Amino acid sequence: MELRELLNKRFLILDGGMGTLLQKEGLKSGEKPEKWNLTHPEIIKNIHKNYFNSGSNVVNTNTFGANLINYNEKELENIIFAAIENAKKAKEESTFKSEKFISLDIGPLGKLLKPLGELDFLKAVDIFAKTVSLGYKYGVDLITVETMNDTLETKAALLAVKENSDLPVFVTNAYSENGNLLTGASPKAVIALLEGMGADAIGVNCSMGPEALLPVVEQYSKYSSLPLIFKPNAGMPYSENGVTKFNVSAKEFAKSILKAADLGVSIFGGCCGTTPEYIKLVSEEINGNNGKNVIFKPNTVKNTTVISSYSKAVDFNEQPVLIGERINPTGKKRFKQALIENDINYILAEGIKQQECNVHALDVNVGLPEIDETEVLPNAVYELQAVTDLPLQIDTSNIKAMEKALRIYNGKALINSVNGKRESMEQVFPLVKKYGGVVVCLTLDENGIPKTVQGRVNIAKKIIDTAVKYGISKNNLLFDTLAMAVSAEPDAAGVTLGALKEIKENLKAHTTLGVSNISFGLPKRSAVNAAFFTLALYNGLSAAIINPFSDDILKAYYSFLALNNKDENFNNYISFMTDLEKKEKEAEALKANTNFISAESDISQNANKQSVNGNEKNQSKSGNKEAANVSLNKDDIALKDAIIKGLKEIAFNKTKQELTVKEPLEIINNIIIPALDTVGQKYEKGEAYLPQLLMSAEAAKFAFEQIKQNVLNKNANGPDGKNSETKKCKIILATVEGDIHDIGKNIVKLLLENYGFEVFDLGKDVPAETIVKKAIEENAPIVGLSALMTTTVPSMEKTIKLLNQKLPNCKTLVGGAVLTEEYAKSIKADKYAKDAMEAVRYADEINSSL
Amino acid sequence: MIKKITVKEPKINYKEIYRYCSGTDSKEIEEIVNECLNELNGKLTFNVCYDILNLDDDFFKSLKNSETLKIALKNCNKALIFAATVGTYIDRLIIKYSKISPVKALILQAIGAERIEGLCNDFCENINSELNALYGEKLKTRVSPGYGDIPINKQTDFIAFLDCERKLGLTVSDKFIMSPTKSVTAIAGIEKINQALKIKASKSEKQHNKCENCSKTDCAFRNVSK
Repeated sequence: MELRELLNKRFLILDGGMGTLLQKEGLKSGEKPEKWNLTHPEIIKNIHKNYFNSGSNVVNTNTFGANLINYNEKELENIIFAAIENAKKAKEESTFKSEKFISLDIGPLGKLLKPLGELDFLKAVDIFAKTVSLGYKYGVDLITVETMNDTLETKAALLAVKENSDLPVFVTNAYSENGNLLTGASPKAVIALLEGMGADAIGVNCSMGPEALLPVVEQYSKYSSLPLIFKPNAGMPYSENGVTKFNVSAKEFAKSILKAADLGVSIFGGCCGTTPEYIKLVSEEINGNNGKNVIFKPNTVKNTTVISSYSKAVDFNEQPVLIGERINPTGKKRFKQALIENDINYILAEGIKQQECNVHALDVNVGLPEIDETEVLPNAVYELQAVTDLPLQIDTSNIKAMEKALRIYNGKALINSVNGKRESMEQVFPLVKKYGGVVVCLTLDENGIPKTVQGRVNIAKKIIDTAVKYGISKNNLLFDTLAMAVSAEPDAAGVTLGALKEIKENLKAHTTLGVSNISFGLPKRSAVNAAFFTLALYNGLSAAIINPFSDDILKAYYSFLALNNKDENFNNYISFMTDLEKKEKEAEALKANTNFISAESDISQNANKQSVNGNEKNQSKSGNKEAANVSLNKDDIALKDAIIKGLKEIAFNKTKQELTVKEPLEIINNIIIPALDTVGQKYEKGEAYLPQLLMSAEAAKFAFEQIKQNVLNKNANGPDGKNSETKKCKIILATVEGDIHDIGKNIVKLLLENYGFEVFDLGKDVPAETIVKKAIEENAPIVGLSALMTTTVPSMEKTIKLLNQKLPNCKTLVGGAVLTEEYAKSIKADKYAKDAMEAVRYADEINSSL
Repeated sequence: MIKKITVKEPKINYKEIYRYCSGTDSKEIEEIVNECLNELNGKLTFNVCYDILNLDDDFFKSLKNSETLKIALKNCNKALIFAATVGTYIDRLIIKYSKISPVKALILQAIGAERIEGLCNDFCENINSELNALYGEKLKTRVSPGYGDIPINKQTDFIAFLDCERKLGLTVSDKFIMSPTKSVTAIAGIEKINQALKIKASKSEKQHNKCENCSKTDCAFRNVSK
C-alpha cells in the first residue's frame, strides 16, 4: 500500500534513537555516525531490523548529517547508497508482519543561514537537493526532514525535497523549553510555512521528553490540518556509573506519548535515548487489546488563514489585519530616489517606522521602470526580514520578481496579487502552490472591473474554482473587491462594499481592500478613507492595506475593535489614544517653534532690506545668523548642540526650522560639519567616547535626511539633496569574505557619509571579486575593508592583491579588531585606520589629492 | 555525559558594557543601554552544554601541544568543557540596528559580550561550588579556542563534541565564527583544593580576570589591574 494512502487513516509507528544506540556500540562524541554505514554496516542494519521487529512501520536511514557540508560528493554518494542498502536489508530480514517503509533521513546542516549565519539560503537548497536526489536515486519510500530549529533551513530542505522527488515528506521540528524554535518561530508560524509548502505530515521531535513537549503538540493539534507526528526524547539524560541513561522509562514513554493520540496525532516514534524497547511498548499499546488501548483519532481540517514571518504568525480569523502600504514608490519622490540609489537602509527604516505603528504585515512594492525588480524585490524582502519580524506582502506584477522573492521568503507570505484573467491565474497559482502563501485576488478579469456586485462576486467564484484545480484552498485566497474613486463613480463605494459582504458571508472567504483609492480626487481625503474603512470593516473586511501614519485610519480601526468587543478592556484603544495624545502635544510644540522661527526670519529679512551700502550677500548671511542665534537662544537647544549631544529627533526638527531661513549648503557647512568636527576632535583627544561620536553622527544623519527631503520637494540642486560642490570622492566599503561582523564598517560608513563622501556599502562576507568589480565600475579612488577575525584577514589580503592588480591607483584603507599597523603593512594595505575618525581623515587626504 | 542546563540570568554589569563599547557612564549612553536592555528583556537564553572529561580522553589529543592549555590544566587530571550561548535574538537586533542606528548596534554588541561573559562566569561559579562541595575540587581559569596558542579551529571540535547544533542551536562557520555570535566555547581545569591553595589563587580572581594570563598584550579590551 502507498504510504500517502495510510496517512491519517491509521496509526503509523516510526523508529527510535540511532545516535544513542551507536554510542553504545562505540561511536565517539564528535565522530560522524553516517560513516558507520560503510564501516559497520551490520550494526546499522541490525538497529533498523530491531526497530522493524519492534513494530516500526518506518525506519530512518542513518543519514542525519549526510550532506555536502560534511562529506565530499563521492563520500556522500557512497554513504547514502550504503545507508539505504542497510535499511533495505533490514526490511528484507525482518519477520515482523506490518507495512514497512524506508525513509531518507535529513537533519540540519550545522550552519546557520544568513542573515544570522553565513550560509546562503539558495546554497542550502542546493546542498539538500544533492542529498535528496541521491536518496531518490537509490530508492526510499519517503523523506523525513527532522530536528530543524530554524524555519528558513526547514524551508530550504522542504523545497529541495519538493524539487527533486515526488515522495511523501515528513517534517519535524525541534522546539526549545519556551515552546518556540531556537531561532524564535512559534509552532503556528512553523505550521503555516510547512502546510503552505505541502508537507505530507508534520510534527515535533527531539528537544525534551513527551510530557514536556505536549504543549507544543497541542498547538499543532489546534492549528494544523495535516497528519501529525510526535517523536520526543526519552526525557533528559543522566549518568549512572559512567553510563548515560534517560529519565523516562520505556513504559512511561509509551504511556505519555500516546496521550497525544487524543490530540489527533497518528504518527509516533522516539528520538534521543529511545530504543527498540520503547518502540515495542508504543506498538503494543497501539495494537494491543485489538487496538482498543489507544483510540485512533485523525487530525481534523482547520479553516485557518495564516501568514507568517520567521517567527510570527498572523491569523486572519482573529482580527482585521492591517497591512502597511508605505514601502511603495508611487507618489513618493524620496522613496523613488532611495530605490534608484539602492539606499536599502531608507526602505528598511520605512518598514520599521510602520511596525512601530503596530501594523500586522508590510506591503513591499519596489516597482520602478528605472530598476530591475527581479533583483531589487528579493533583496528588499531579504533585508526587511533581517530587521522586522512582520510577515510581508510581496507586491508585484513582475512574475519573475515574485517567484524570486517567494523563494527566499522566510515564512508564508501574502502575495499581491492574482486576478480573474486566465493568464494571471496561470502564472500566479503555481507559485502559490509551490511556495505557499495567501494571495490577494482582484475581482477583475479580461472584461475589466464589473460595475455590479454580482459581477465581482462571479469573478471571485471563478477564482476559487480555478484555485482548487491547482490544489489551493479557499482559505489561502483574500478577495479584493476594488475600492474605486467615488469622485469618478458615485456608487463605487456601494458596489465595493456589497461585493465584499457577499464574498464574506456567502462564499465564506476572506477579503481585503486598498482603502485609500476611494477618496481620490477629493479634498481632506483621510476623513473619507476613515469612514469608508469603518464601513468596510462593518461589512466583513478581513484585511486592509493602509497608511499607518494616518491617525484617522487608526482611530477608525481601534474604535471599530472597541465597539465590536474585539479589544479586551479597551487596552489597544487606550494605548493608541494615549500615544496619539503625546504625539499631538509634541507636534503642537514643534509648530509653535516653527512659527517663532518664521517670525524671526521675517525680522532678519527686513533687517537685510534696510542695508544700503554693505555687501548684501554677507549682510544677508549675518542677518540670518543673528536671527538663528536669537531663535536658538530662546529655544531649548540649537541644531549644532543637538548634533553634538546626539539628539536625533531634535536635530531633524531643528534642521526643518533652519531650512526656513537658510540655504541647505549653509546649514551643512556652517552648522552640521562644524558640530561633527567638534565631537570628532574631542573623540581624537580622548575627551569623548565612541558611543558619543556615533550619537552625534546619527543626529547629523537625521539633519541630512531633512535636507534631502527639503531639496527633493523643491526639486533643486542635485538629486541627493546636497549641492554637488560638497560631494567628495567615491569610497567602496565591505567586510571581507567569510566575516560577518559589520558594526565597525557601518560606523565608518556613517561618518564618511556625514563628511560628504559617496559611499558604496557592499555589506558583509563580500568576495574579493565583487569588491574589485565594484571599485572598477565606480572608478573609486579608495576601498575600505574590514575584518574582525584572524581567520578572515587572508580574505582581506586576497582582496588587496586583486585590487592592486586590477586597479593599481586605488588606495586601500583597512581596519578591524585584529588588525594592527604592522599587520596592515604586511598585507600591503595603503592605510590602517585605528578608528572611524582616522578613516575620515585619511579619506579627506586622498580626496584633496585628487 | 553531555548535559544541557539553563542558568539563571546573570546580574547586569554596566561597567563591563561601557568597557566593551569603548564608552563611559554618561547619562545619554546609559539611556541607550537601558533602552537596549528593555528591548532584550526576556528574549535572551542562558543555555550551556558541558561535559567533564579525564585528561586522557581522546578529545585532548589534538590539543596536547598547546602551552596555554598546559598552564590552564596544570595540576589537573580532569577538565570541564562547555559551550554557552545567549541565543539568536540579540544577533537579530544587532543586524537590525546596524542598518538604522550604529550606536545601538554598538551598544547591543557590548551588552551581548557582557551577557555571554556573565553567563560563563556564573556557570563556572556554579560548577565550582558543586565540585567544591561534592569532591573537594575547584575549577581553574577557563580558556577558549583562539586564546593564547589554542588554535581557533578547535572551535569546530568543541561544537561537534558537545552536540551544540542540536542542544543549543550553536553552529560554527568555515572561518570559525560562531552563530549565534554571542557564544563561547571553553575549557577549565579541575584541581584538588589543597593543590589550589598551594598556588595561592582565589576563585574570583581566576574566573573574572582572564586578561592577566593572556599573551595578547595589545588587545583593545585588555583589562588588567595596574
